[in-house]
Amino acid sequence: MAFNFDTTYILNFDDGTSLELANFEVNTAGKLTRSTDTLTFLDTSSITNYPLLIQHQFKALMQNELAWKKGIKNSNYALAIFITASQDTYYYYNINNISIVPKTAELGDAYDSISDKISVTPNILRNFAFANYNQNPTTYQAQINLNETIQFAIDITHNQFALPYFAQTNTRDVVASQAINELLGYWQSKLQGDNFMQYTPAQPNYQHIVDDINNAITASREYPAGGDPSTPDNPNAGQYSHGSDPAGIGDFDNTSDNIEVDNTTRVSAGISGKLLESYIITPGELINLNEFLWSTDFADVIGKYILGDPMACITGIMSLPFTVPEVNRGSIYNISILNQDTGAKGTRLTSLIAYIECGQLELRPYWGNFMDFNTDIQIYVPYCGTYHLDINEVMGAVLDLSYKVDIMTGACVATLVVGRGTYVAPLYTFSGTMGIEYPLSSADRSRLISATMGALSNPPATALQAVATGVSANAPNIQHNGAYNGNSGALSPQQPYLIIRRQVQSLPESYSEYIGYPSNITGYIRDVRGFAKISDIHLNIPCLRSESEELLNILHDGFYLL
Amino acid sequence: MSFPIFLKRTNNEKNVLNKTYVDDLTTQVDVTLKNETSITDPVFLISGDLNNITQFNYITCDFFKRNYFIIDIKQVRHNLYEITAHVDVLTTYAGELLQTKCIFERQTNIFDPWLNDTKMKVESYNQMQIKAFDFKFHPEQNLILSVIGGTN
Repeated sequence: MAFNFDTTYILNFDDGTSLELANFEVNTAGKLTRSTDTLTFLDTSSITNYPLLIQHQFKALMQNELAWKKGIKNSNYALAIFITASQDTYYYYNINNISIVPKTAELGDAYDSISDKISVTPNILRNFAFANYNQNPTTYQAQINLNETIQFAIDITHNQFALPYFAQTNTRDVVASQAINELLGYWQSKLQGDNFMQYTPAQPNYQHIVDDINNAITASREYPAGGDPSTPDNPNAGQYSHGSDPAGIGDFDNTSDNIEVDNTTRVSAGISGKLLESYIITPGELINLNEFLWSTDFADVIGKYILGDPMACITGIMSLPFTVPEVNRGSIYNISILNQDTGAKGTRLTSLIAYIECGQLELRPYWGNFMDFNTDIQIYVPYCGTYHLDINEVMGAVLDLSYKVDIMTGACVATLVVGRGTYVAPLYTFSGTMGIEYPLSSADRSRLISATMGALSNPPATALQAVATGVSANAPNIQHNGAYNGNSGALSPQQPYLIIRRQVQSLPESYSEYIGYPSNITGYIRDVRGFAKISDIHLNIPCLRSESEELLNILHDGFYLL
Repeated sequence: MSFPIFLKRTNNEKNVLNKTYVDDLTTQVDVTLKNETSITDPVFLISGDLNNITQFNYITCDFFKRNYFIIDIKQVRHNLYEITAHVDVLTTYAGELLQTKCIFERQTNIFDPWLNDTKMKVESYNQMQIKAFDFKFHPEQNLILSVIGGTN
């Protein structure tokens, strides 16, 4: 059975209820919006094959909500989970487990037969850990950005009305769907006595599968208590929040202005006029120039009598460690000195400031939790040194490194532009000297040797030095800044890089089940499962004072909801 | 005065809000109260032949509208048992608690991963990672010559 419909489709059931299916997608702002694309729901045959109870629930539930997120970014396949609930006041559900199986597994395969192919992807788990709860009985959604066939294992507990369903989608369409309870069993809750709830499986219990997956997950200590790593600025961007009544009267305007980096090279070589001129020259042409300078005519007449030394005509010879950009280059001319054509050729520089783009690095959170902000970050900037970066400024940011170089003197300034959240700004600049300066006289040579030796006695960090420091956990934090000149910089690593030293969390199995994670979130006790420890609560219960005190002690010390 | 109670067995810890019980063992018995007993720490007297009384560790008492942990069981004489209990406030008031709003300090599923977790332990070693920018300098790429005197 297959349905094809445009934009929305209404399924009318015998009992008068109806179900609207609609196509949703995530816009660039990360909001779920209704798509105008065609929605194809290829496999609905399973809907009619469920037991009556389930079927009835499915129909009743699906008319409440049906939505899915489309895979965004790099995905060709996305998988959406939607769990819906009836009008009942209790909406208990936890998604505890998720597993990815290889492409070879087909949707609907017997789960046991593919259990040996289960692999755990920590990133996926992180996403789920963050998003696995909705306060309102609406829709649970999650997505996976993998080009794989994906099969979910979900333990849905304690809500006899919640029916989890999953849909496998390709880029645009739902290509298959199946009720989760078919895979993992279905737990039914019932009220017993006045206050006790007991949960008994109404369908075959597949707890052993849940256990297997749990074991697989907890066996990986990579599984952090993490959230969506792409949104460190807004960790609670869900239905739960820190509240809307902050104790302050600020305007909470956290907008930023973007500070652009001037990458123009408009400082022209105009001072050259007739005074100074800079050329890109080949070694062969340099020999020709040398021959001219020491030729009888020039050396004897101009160099000797006017300047005293023919080499005084040359103000500098420098080797730059990059190809001068085209925008700085003029035409090829015969090099002139004191209006004398030397016969040597060189590419005349039209502007003296070269802009060099080194590329970008995205510093994504590794753990997806507070541990990421206990990370030490340094940046090695060739010809400038090694510097610490403030983790609060760069975590989760795109780092863009560029240089501006004075071609004539080799002076350079590296700029690190940090883009994160609402701002893009050059937060760091590093200065240095670039290029190997060649001595033109014995005095020059002595000066250069002195400068280089000085730099080497206070050396900038090499890659090995940096790593050697980093692997020592308790080593003092050493600044690798060194006194650079162009010559010593040329002896150091030539590629900029980040040195990331992060703490490793020791996460025992079932950590969250035993003691939970820090919450500071307001909610109803009925909405949670597992361990809960309450910091603040107002009890309005008709009980004895001694009972109230005991109750508060228990709530503050921590308790469990099965 | 006698009234019925339900003797039960639970394998849950005492700080579990929604306890589960071993269904087959739940037994209704009539009890009387020992003189001057407390509603939070009552002492029930049970008459009758209860061979399996040691299997129970929990009581539901509709008369007091409370649930109790069994603290101790004494056999006073043949077929007369004295059960000392303490109120289980968590399950007794579970219905009200479930409807109560609160601020969670720690929770298994609802949490803020960016809050500092003082209970989280870290290894003594650190993890190192080097990430390089794409660009690489190459010494002696271009020779720059600067001279005095301008163009001809």
